[in-house]
Amino acid sequence: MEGVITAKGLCKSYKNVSVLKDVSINVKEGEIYGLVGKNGAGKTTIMKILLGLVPRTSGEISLLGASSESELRVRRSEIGSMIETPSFYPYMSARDNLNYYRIQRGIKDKGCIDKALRLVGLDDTGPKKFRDFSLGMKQRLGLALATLHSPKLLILDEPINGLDPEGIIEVRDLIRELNQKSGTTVLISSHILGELSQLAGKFGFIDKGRMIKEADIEEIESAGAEETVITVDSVAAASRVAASEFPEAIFTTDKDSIHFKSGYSDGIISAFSREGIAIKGLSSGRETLEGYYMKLLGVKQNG
Amino acid sequence: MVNVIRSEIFKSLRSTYFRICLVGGSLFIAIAVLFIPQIANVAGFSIETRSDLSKIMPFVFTGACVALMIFFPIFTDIFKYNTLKNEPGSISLITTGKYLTALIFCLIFAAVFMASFTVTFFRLAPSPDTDKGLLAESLISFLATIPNYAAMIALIQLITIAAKNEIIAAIIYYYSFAQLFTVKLIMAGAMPEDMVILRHLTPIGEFYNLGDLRFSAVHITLSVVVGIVYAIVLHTMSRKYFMKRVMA
Repeated sequence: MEGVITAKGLCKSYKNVSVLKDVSINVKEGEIYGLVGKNGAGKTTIMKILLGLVPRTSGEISLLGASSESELRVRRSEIGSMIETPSFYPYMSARDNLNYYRIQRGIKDKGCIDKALRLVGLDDTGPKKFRDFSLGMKQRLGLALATLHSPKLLILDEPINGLDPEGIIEVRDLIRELNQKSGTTVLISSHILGELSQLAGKFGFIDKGRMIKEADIEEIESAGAEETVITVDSVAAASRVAASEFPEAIFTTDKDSIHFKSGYSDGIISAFSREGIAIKGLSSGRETLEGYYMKLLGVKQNG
Repeated sequence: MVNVIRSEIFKSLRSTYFRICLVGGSLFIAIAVLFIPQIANVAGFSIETRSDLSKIMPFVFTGACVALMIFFPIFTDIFKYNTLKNEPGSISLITTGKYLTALIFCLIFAAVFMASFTVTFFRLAPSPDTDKGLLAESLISFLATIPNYAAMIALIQLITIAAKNEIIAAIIYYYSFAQLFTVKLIMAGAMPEDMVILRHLTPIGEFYNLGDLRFSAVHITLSVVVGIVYAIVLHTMSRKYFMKRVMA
């Protein structure tokens, strides 16, 4: 399948400071791709470069099949985007703001404004000016603008920032609906990894301007599939018992738990009980995006 | 480009501040031109016949440069409200689109001016020896100022891109470029007639020359050329500087 977004060897420097180093990214058609990274890791810069809001220092970009600068300019007008906190003209209402962009983009169908406002739940704001909107309403208007022209590709930078729990669920459902019903490809970043993991099927992990890993959700979930975590009252004692009685087990410990990466068996529980180690909890299963990210970053930092 | 201009007009007319400036500016021009004889009287000039109008027109043309300051918000709003990120497909068109929008609004002022001028002309007493064809020549002189106003608008755009803030830009413009006409008037008064070509250096200078209302065809052509050259050069600089600033 052809990549809707393909970037190779993207580099960006501001004066002598390098903020992106040889980043490559490939987002396939119909995919929801999550960009994960700390503040300042380079997520927004990648998005801005893709949208032509910031020039790249080097590297190649292909968007919706276009790769030359003139073609990219045309294709970029077909992308829906929301970068950082939405900005609009404060003296205009939601409808007027969208109408301004509708005219600018040459969209003839005036009905797209009502449709977009309805989609994000802002159809009843009437003449209320943007300056009087709450942060959540501003965020919704940003999403309405991003979807105004039914784009094939959406680039969303922290779209759920500032939303209340209900709003987060609505935005999640909206993005999912656009992806599933219209086949819209989505590149999204968020600090709320739990939310991102419910949306995206593939992730790019950015750290200090480098793409340290690209992984799909199956890979992430299976990465920790064999891990069993036992919460105990004495990690030191549990660790000693595990090491002496189950030498084949590979485990790590933290403040109150012992994590078996492999070699876990029911006998371990029995051994802990026999040695008087109180078991407070037992869990095993899939790795979370958050856990995967932390480990990835930890490995990177140690490495 | 047409879409960008249409959207800029739509947005500008949604701004209460801009609407007030546009209507207020038009009223101000109309009143000022309709009452030229009375205003001139206060300033120590005597405007009794149609041919006397040329005494005051250099001041009217150059003074109108200050009115162009209403266009600052058109150019600074993308910086002020950080909306450029919403327009990834239009960045390369924005500078010219905004410039042409300001020029279109400027033409509204021009129309108001020409209508008011014509009314004032006919209200004044005729001077049969000298005012033959004066109205037509005056209107031609006035049309010749438009490229020079276009140059001043391009200058305003360049200043706003540098300042990114309309208040700072307005202060820079008002206390530097908008005052140049005073210097020019002083210089022009001291300049011998045979050195009149030296007055053709800047758009501000052209306002003084065109205010003569009976400037020769050659000089009118030269004024238009000066205005167009300045407008193109300044706008090209604005475009390049804008891309450099926003794409840093």
